[in-house]
Amino acid sequence: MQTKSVRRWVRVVHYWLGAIVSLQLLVWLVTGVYFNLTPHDELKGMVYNHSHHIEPKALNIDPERLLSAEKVLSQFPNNTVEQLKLQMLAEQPVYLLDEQIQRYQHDCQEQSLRHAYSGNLFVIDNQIAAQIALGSYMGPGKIISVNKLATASDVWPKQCNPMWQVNMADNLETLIYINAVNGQLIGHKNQQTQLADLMFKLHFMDYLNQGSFNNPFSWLFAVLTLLLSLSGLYWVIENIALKRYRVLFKRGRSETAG
Amino acid sequence: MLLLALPILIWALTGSYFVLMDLGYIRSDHVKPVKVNYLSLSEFNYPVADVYRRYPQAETISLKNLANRNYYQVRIKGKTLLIDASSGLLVNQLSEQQATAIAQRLQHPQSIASDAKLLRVTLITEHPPSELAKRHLPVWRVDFDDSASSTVYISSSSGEVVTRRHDYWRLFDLFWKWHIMDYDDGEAIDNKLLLTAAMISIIAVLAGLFLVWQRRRRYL
Repeated sequence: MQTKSVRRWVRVVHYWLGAIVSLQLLVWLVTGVYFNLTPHDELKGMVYNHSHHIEPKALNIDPERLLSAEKVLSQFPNNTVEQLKLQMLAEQPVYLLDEQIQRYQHDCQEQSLRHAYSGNLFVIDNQIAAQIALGSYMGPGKIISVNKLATASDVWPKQCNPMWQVNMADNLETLIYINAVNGQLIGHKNQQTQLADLMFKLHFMDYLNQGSFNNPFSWLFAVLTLLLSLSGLYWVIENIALKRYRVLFKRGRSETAG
Repeated sequence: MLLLALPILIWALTGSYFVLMDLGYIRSDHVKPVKVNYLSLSEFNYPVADVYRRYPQAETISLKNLANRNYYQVRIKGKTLLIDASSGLLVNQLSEQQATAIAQRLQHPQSIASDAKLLRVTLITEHPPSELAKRHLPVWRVDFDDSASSTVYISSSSGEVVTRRHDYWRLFDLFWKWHIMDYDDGEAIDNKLLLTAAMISIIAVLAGLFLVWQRRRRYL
């Protein structure tokens, strides 16, 4: 009597879990197949981005004019600089100073850029942003417009700095994003990544646009799907134990129980 | 169809692990050294300009504090050189002591337990374990005896913590291989086995949906 009610209960649970989870299961499978079939470069907006194809350029500096590290650091009298980096940005030598290195999305980078000769603040204006963007671009298009975006953007949920959006005239409608504080290339977006980002959002159930699969929808549906699989497994084992599958082979029907 | 029970169960199990374990915890992103080493003005007698004159091919020159000493890290053709900022001497290989000191800065309540002991410190110059990319070699491997078997990998040429692992992260890596059904190196998401299993599973789910509809009177 006891086992019979357990069996009945497992079936009811399996039925209702199946009814609830099946649509999301389809979404997971279809998006999974999409990830399987789509080239990596298309998923990540790398088709016209050649930052991974070229060798980084060497510094091009007049060492006589270079401001010393002490001089740059003396502008931060509280000794709050973790790291100082001499690099080229839009063909100009700059010092990048990290006051707090980003390790998690909510503790934002506090960085500043200084001219490596004068020590003055190096501002990423629209021209510099356009130059950096073009340096990463290997598509056929020209720049249509350069726009400044505020901190929060749905396109890059994890970015916490203001950014420049450089709009290219090409067949993929490429948009190039530059961090307006440190001048780093954030990435390219285009028609291909629009689809890819939607697919990631659906696969991760990231309906609140947090850029993460650690979210309440995922938690709930993951557990429900696990229970669906386990109740199904229980049912299969029960069918094997009661030799129901032999009946199936003889009759050629999948009607077992339930 | 019964054969599909296995991949579907694996996807559900591994997927649940991914979403229920915070990725930030897995990747140890929230963990920073408890005391940040800020750059102090005192110790770099060797100027940046001299580093540049010595390595005109350098792509970037960074100045940072590692284990209470200031160093330049010179990025040059995919490699990083380490130069003592007070003497200007090239550090060919970080000492075991220095590597240990860098790793131990990650020992605090939110990270590797403070009372965890050093299990061993090993220099790896070839045949890296699968959790360490070959391009990082040579590295110091620092193992702790905490409950999660934490390991910190520190480049012996640059002094950077190149990667780290603990058992929950290692399980994540293993589950990732299972999730994308790539049983050799776990990197190729575009494999045929995954495609086949996913396609047949779509048919299975559609069949399930049909059954849900067909048997609605039995369960409503």
